[in-house]
Amino acid sequence: MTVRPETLAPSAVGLRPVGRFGFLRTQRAASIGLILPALAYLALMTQAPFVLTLWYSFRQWVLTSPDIPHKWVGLSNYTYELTQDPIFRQAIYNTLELTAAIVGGSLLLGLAFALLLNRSFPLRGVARSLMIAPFFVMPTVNAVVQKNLFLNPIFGLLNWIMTSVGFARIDWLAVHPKLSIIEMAVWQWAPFMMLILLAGLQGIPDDVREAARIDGAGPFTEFRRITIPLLGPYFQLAVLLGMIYILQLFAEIFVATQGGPGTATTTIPYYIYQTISQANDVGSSSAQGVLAIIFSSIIAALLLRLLLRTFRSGVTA
Amino acid sequence: MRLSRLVVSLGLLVALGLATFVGVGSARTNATTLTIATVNNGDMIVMESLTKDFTKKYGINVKYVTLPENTLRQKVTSDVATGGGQFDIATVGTYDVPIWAKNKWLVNLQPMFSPSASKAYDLNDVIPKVRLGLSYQNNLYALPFYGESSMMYYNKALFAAAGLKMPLHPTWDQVAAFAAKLNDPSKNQYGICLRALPGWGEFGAPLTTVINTFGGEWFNNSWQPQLTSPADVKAVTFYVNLLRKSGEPGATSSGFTECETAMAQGKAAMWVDATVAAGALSDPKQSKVAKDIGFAYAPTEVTPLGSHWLWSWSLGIEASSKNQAAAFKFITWATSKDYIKLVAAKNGWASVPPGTRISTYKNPAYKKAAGAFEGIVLNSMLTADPTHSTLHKVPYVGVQFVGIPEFQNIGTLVTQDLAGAVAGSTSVSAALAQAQSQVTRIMKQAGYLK
Repeated sequence: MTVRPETLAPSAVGLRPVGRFGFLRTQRAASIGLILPALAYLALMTQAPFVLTLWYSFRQWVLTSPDIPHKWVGLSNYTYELTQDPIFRQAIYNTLELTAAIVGGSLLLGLAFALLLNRSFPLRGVARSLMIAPFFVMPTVNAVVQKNLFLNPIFGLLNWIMTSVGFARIDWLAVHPKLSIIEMAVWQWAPFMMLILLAGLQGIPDDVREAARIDGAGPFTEFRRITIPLLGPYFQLAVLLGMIYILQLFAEIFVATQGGPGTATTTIPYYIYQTISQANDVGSSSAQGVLAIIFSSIIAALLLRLLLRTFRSGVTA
Repeated sequence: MRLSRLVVSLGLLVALGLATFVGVGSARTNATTLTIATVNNGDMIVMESLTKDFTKKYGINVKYVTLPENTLRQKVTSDVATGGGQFDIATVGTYDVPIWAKNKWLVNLQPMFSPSASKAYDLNDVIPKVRLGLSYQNNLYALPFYGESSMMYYNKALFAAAGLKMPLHPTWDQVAAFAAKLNDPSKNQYGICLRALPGWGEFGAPLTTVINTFGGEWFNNSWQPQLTSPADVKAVTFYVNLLRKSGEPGATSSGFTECETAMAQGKAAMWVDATVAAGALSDPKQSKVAKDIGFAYAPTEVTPLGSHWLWSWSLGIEASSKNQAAAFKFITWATSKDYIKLVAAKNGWASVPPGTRISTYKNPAYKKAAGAFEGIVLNSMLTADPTHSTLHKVPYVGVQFVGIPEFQNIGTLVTQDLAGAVAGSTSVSAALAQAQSQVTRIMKQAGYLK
């Protein structure tokens, strides 16, 4: 005959308070109750702007036209933006194009700089500090200086150099607006990518490299088969972080091209700014803001999945 | 261990206490403080530097919030539209005043001008057209700080070297011919500088005067947009082609400031823009061509109506202000004859705020300092009529703008489309067609069109 041993802890059945509101008298309820005010405050502080934006996006409100009734319009702001507003769809396309170009460009440039800074040479610390400097310049200052001192067709440095060697003057901001914006942003973000990739490069153990060299791998093969796959997670991080910030690019466009000429450099953040500050349309701009959040989340999710798949399958032993 | 913890907690307590009492202390000052939102133009900056005289005289403090025009308009609009009460006084223009007066966002100043106050301020000295532009239903809602029209500036030296002479009342065809002859990109010299920076108050202003003088208009008498009408197409094509052929490079980034710089540096032979630049261009400290600058009336084409604009930056009191009496004292001080004399004593008569009072233009000292251009400026302001600025009858007021709230959006959208044409990325007809459809949609949504 076996004797079932008593468990060390007494049975919990008898400890639960009985009655309809029994739960409220437990220890767990007390803990939750004490945390609830702080949690409610946190929820309010972090979500209030979003909730208000969502609320306004379902209404029609134009600040400067009190005659237009301030009423509930359901999803009509959203349907207007997605199906009828030609500028919003152009803005989506421009945002994608500019973000891809800037992230890609700064990633390539950052990789090149990181590879160069990875070997030791005299004054390497100084070189590294100088390379990081562009990232600390404020975007507005960067844009103003580049617009007025470098890219200006009458007084600018770039045109002066070009005319000195015999080329014609180019009005960069009017004829190549996207390229100008990409150039300004890549100059600023390449150091950011460089820092992340440099950290990754310095994490590649030397014995792996030595082994590859003993096996007869040249520099290009070593780069392709060892460096790139081992930098995989760092690429993911750099692209994801860069993309989150560069999707929101505003200062360069606002200062240098004002979304123009036409709508060549109107991106979603700039268009939202225009809608609220120019058209004073609270409803439409809130709907655009919500759509922008949905849109960035989709892009981020897709990109993450793509990167994970690429680098998981690409890592060699 | 225990002592350092005590020190830390005491330190935090002191900091917290200081923060609380500083906050309470600053809210308890007895003197009234007015908050004024203003643009960062030269004359306003001078006003800010002279405000200590006002504080000394009346004991009222004034806090300045200085912003660029677009940001100012946006901030003040959201403040008045939501009843925020952040500002007591706002710098508003002839575009904003009638609209804001209608929405009851500005305080009606007419009842504040008792017969004695009106005599002390000399309300009848204010230029009548400017006063009309700042009124709604015959009540004055803002006091003009400075007023301007538009005129032609040209470089006499470049003209003489090419053997050309600028008439006092040129036509746009003559201007185009001059510009073609004086355009020399290899020497970094351009025939004409005209604004093409997108914005209803930037590109939109000179463009609208060109449309007006070519016999076109923004909307016909039934509020239908006229951007694809023959007269408008002719006017816009003329402006765009003039810029493309003999205009400054970087036109789509050129607003008032950029063109003023180009003119002052001697890079442009002609410039049609606001009369307020006359003082700066004649000042040897600011302009390389101070000796060679010539003045003429704004060019006309088919009709002189609407060929030069009328604008005034003025001071109005927000309806949500809690210090309306003090604010009234400030705005009457800053637009009074005494203030003008104060600026003259400090900076000379050529830099007083122009275009507000008839007495300024009758003053011999002013005529001596600004003689070369003040006649043209005054005549331009007296003949610019916001109620009659187009060849055909129109349902709106405004010379270089359309006095409806939607125009801020419409003007900026259309000028953005047309900037694409100036830059060469679209044709004028494609840009105008897109502009026409955008404007029609906005007018339908706002209820002007069925």
